[in-house]
Amino acid sequence: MRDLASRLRAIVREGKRHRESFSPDDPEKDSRCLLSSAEDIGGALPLDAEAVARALGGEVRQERSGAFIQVDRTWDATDFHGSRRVSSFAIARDAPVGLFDPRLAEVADWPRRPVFFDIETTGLSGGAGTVAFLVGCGWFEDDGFRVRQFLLTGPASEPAMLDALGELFDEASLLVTYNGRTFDVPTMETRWAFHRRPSPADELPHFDMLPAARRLWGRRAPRGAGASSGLRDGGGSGGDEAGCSLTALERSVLRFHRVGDVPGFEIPVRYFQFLRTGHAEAVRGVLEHNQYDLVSLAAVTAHALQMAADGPETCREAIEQGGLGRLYERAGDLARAERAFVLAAESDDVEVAAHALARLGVLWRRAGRHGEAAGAWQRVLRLAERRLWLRPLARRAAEALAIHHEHRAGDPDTARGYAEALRRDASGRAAEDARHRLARLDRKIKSAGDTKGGPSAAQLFES
Amino acid sequence: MAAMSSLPALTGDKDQSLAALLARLEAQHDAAAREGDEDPHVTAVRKLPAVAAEFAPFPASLDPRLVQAFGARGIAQPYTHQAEAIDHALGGRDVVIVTPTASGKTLCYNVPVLQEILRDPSSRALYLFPTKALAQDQLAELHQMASLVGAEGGGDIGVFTYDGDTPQDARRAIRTRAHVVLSNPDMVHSGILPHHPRWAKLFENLKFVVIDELHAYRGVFGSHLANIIRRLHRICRHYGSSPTFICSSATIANPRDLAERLIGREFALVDRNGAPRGEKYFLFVNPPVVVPQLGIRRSYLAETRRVAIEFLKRGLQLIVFAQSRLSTEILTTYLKDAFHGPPGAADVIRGYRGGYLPLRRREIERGLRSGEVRCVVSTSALELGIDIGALDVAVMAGYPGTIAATWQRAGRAGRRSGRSAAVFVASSAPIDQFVVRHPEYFFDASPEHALVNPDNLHILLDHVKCAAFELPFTDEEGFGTINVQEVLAVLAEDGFVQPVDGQWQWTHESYPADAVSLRSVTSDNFVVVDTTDGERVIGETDFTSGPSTLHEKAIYIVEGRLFQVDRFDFEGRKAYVSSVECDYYTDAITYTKVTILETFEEGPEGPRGPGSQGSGSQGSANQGAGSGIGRDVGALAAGLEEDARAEGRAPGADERALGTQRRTPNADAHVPPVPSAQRPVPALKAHGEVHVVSRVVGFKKIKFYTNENVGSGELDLPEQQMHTTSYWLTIPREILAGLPYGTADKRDGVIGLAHAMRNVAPLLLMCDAHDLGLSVDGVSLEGGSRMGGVARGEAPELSAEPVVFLYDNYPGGIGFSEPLYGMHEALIDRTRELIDGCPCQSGCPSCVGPEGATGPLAKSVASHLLELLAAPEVPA
Repeated sequence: MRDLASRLRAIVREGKRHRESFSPDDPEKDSRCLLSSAEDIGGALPLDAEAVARALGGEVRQERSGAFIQVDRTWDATDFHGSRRVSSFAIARDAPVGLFDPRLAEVADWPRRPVFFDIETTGLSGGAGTVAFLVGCGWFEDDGFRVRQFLLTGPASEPAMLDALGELFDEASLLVTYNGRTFDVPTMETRWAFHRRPSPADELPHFDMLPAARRLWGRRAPRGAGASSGLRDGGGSGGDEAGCSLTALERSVLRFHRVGDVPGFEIPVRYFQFLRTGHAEAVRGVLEHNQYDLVSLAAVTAHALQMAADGPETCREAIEQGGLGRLYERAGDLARAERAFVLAAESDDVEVAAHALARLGVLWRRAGRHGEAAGAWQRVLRLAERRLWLRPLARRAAEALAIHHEHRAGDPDTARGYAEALRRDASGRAAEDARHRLARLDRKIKSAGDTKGGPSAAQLFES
Repeated sequence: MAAMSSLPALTGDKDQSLAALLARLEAQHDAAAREGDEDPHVTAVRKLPAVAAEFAPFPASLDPRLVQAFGARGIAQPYTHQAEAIDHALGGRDVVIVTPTASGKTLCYNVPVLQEILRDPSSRALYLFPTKALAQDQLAELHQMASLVGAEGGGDIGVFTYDGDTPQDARRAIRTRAHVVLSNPDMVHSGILPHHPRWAKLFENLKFVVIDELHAYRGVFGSHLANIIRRLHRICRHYGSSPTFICSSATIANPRDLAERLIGREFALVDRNGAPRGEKYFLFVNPPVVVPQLGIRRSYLAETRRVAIEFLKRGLQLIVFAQSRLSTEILTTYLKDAFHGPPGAADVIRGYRGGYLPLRRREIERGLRSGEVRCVVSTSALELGIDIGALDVAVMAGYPGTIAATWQRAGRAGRRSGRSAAVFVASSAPIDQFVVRHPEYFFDASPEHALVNPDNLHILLDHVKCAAFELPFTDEEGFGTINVQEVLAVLAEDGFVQPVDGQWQWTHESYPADAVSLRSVTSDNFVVVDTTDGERVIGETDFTSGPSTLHEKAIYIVEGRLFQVDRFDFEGRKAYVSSVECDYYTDAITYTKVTILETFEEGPEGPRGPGSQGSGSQGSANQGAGSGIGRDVGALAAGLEEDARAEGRAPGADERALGTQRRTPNADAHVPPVPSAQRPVPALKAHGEVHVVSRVVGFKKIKFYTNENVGSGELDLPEQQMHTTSYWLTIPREILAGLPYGTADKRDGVIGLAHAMRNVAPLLLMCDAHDLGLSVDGVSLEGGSRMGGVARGEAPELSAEPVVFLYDNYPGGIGFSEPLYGMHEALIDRTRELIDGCPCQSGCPSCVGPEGATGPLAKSVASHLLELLAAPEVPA
């Protein structure tokens, strides 16, 4: 009889063969050979934590609940990160965080010690088996930006690491993350719960920069982002366009380009390899990746807050002016929002300008400035001519103008032109609405006995 | 077609009209018996007398608020079995309760759970039901109890279902607020255990785990559940809790063994039912033979319709169980057609099956309880504990497959007082014909054993991965009965885990629970894509049966609609079909080759003793159990012999398992007794590990209704291979040589024998016919056999010593082979009874296969062979 192990082996291999034949593009396959296979096989060497710590420039922290590796690195205040001097990243005490997250407006103490936080995990699926094997924290000290990383050398490391992280959190006044609300913080909460510890993140104010970045820069990175690709270290935000990934922002906003960065999908595999071989080299790049994420997060956050404080006039990029407009509008600062949109509307970037005008159309109408609103919508229509990707905006403009001319300007003929264009362009519910409007307008026109020819707005959608 | 008639109102003395009808049928049965009718229409009428209730007081320690709440529901005292179960549970003893339908099992677990929550509001309980619908059903009752208790000052007791339908935004609240979580094994497997930190509050305070419908967890599903429970134990240990298990089961032969094997702990058994029962009649009906030469009987569906109409016309409320979704729809149509009335009146007759929307199902259930619905035609969907009230009559169209399921379906009729009836209408399937002609087999036998094999390596391996993901194994930890350290070492070779710090860390990016389907051994399957009008998926088929049902030109049937397979993409696991109109279906011809890899045991020298080599897979059975179980739970897969041994009886005492007495069939007359000198003593029975290679080589087209073979085709499909376990019977050279028949007839006899054995084996094993594969001397009868034997000319010559393999039709095996080996004698006896007791002249689909397919002498040769094989063994 075959022994248990060989029977088990046959089953494991069978399943694996099948999986591989159905996912030929499995990235794992390529990344398996990060180290030469000879080094990888050989297996269960006891991992020498001291040697690893030395190689990574850190130290072993021996606590009562276990040991883990701590690596500290400081960016001097006078250093540059991309085009920015590190000293410029420090967040001003009066920075308008409340603009981005109203909950933080209530927190008086937040500037005391903001801590930037980012983790690397053994997978993205979540659940009890997904471990944050590397947690990184960054904060400003007098002499610069300090990054402190905790690296697990095995499952026995985790309780001690969690305790140490808890202490760090206890001292923090604000947690700043990139997508931390959906990924980093819930992942850590699971780890604390796993080890039956209360979560020190529960009471800590949290500023997630990702939604703020989306609001400011939309789905598109500002000019200069170049051919940005690759999601932020696989932060699991899924569906987020490359334009708002942290690496895209650091290229466009900070002009910082990473060299030899570890791609996100490789990170778990590298750590597993580290566990198997004990080689610090397998994770050196992961630590660096995490450090850059933290420094860039600090820089981008400082930039965003500074920009919001300074106002649209000092912005270099129209896309940022538009983003600021949305930010102010959402925070209820309509005067500044209007200024921002007016500036953005002058942009050469047609899309930025059209979106800004559309916001202005809404803002002005709400303010009762109907004439100006109609003007903005007309500019939207002009910009949208022959630009298919702006059609949704054009439809909104036509609808707004049809309403305006019917109800405000008392010009049913003009209104009819817009409504007719809408009917032809729209489908489903919108087309149905347009038909109703047309019928009503026709009745009005008939009862007015006025049969002036309408404008050629119908042509607006022809291209 | 029956005359159109309208239904009488549901008034008058139902008891009396039922009694009148039963009396008539009983008289018919008695008359047939007097006249010596060999093939009576009504083959059995049994009267089960009424039983009075037995009460016992609630335990003195019970919270007065709980006593009050039950008082408010009219329950002053529990039945004896309820009181006993509550006592065990509150005493912290794991308990399994065997309860017939409608005996108040929910009280057995709700009382201890609510009592504990009242005592300590932080307490939590987890209820597991095999389906979502059952959890929903229980939710209502538990809600009511919880609010009654709450009204008595018990505070707010949170009761929630947590399953695939639970909205995402409600989940967080449930995780922290629910005192009682009602879920199912699939959800626990993929949604709760892998996320246990989020459920920390539940696991830290888990006092009770309730597993309802325990008997549903057998075979593959049960083997998965046992591993899920192993994982649950680990998580509970991690959070410092040790819940008490309360299980309830329908009547099966081994409820305690099953519970102990699934949960891995020692159980107390409560099986003395204290609930009252009214008088109940049980009738067996065999549709009359209409074509005697071919043994063809009147359609059992038509017969069921006639029976049902008899009861309906007398104003009785009934449930009709059909064997498939299709026959459910057909019967529903028949019965609706038979009655007319004002518009909507036909709604008093309803169908019920999986696939109906929940709202419709709830409406039908309500209608049954209120009496508005007079008749429901259902698949097994209503067999489990959905509350539909107590009906007057249960009619079963076809044998439900097991004694246990038959009693459970019969239990759907019957009140605590007053008369009720259950009727079994036999189809022409061999099992049906065996049961209907041997009523004593059913009435006097204990029900079946539910078997599981938690150490099936395929299943085990998947769950070890899940467990390693959930909580790193330590290098000293066990997992069930197998040496998990060895399993982990193999997983480490492929990078799934890595030994670090004395633990096995999960080092894989995957979420292993996603790759496991609890209802089968592998989650691999084929999907069926209908391309008639666009492309849409209309069905799926498990990996094993894909090639034989979805090959090109196969006819694929969904709810009576026919589709033809246009293209079968084996690699892509898809079959593209389009709608067709035709009057035939297809049956694949599969060649199967079975190679013995290792023989675990062989006889006739009798079962192994405790010290013998034993079976490989159970070899390490006892190490690591360590939970102080006195009985040999670890070796239960070994089945019935272990059972017998544990209870101090002689090995080989299969009678208990099968319940029938070993009788010498009265067919001795036409087979001369075998001279003792001729009696051989070589190996007859064996079980072990085998390699099965099967390939679909062709198919036949078979006409509906007439079953004529109207064409065939050849196919070239890839081989499928698996390692599994098998029981096999070797027909000794001496016996075969000594038979006074020609080679071709002997071959027909062996094939006929195999055909009959294959149909009897599931009866003994309490498994689905699908669970077993058959191969004779290395060449398959599959495909042909389901519809009755292999066509002449397809079967090759037999060797001098042919072997009949009955193998577990799942990779790795799920524990049928060893018990089957233990039941070898019973298998031979029952097969002999089936063949000798069959009234056909020379073979029919109900025994050795239809004449014409098996050869004229197949029946005689098979009978003769069995005579020799069943001869008492030489004393050891």
